[in-house]
Amino acid sequence: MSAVLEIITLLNTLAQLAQSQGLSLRPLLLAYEKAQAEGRQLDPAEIAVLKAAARQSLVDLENALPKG
Amino acid sequence: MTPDHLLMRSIVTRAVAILLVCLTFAMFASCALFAPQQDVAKLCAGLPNRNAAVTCVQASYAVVKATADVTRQRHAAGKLSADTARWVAARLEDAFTATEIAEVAISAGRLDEAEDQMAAVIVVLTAIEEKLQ
Repeated sequence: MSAVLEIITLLNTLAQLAQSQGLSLRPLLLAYEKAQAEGRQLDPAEIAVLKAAARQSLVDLENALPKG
Repeated sequence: MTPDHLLMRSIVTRAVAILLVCLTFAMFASCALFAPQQDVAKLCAGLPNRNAAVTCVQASYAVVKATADVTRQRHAAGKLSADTARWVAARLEDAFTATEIAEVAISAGRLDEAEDQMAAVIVVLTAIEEKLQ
């Protein structure tokens, strides 16, 4: 059951973030479903945009915190 | 335990999982809004194929970004101490690093390794969630 608990926990985390931040993973899911339907492989390079955005937000958070 | 027992146990486990997911989402006003997240979480749990793995890693980066933004905003609004915000920032770096390792594993076709890394990300997100509540 640990896998089930992990799924539930992640769902809660995602749902809370979605509520507070307007986060939507729908475009990712649609891209996945489309690729699966077309028998096409998603290019791992497509990860780069979201990765860069995450890195920038981490930098912004670090810069917003008082030093020391 | 016989194969029949194992099969039945597997079916019951899946049924309970589905029930728990339904109950969880029933707590929110709009289940439809969160259905995609539910599906993506399922993808991350099994990583049944390369496309699922790519989508899972993308979702993880999106969640890291959203959590960092929420933490910065809450700290700016005085709702989160600097110490707590620093702790969350450090954990988010851990999640980012684990996601990066998963990304490399996917490129190399090592989906099992990617799944292990994403499990580590889930542990980190769980710890952050408990801290932010």
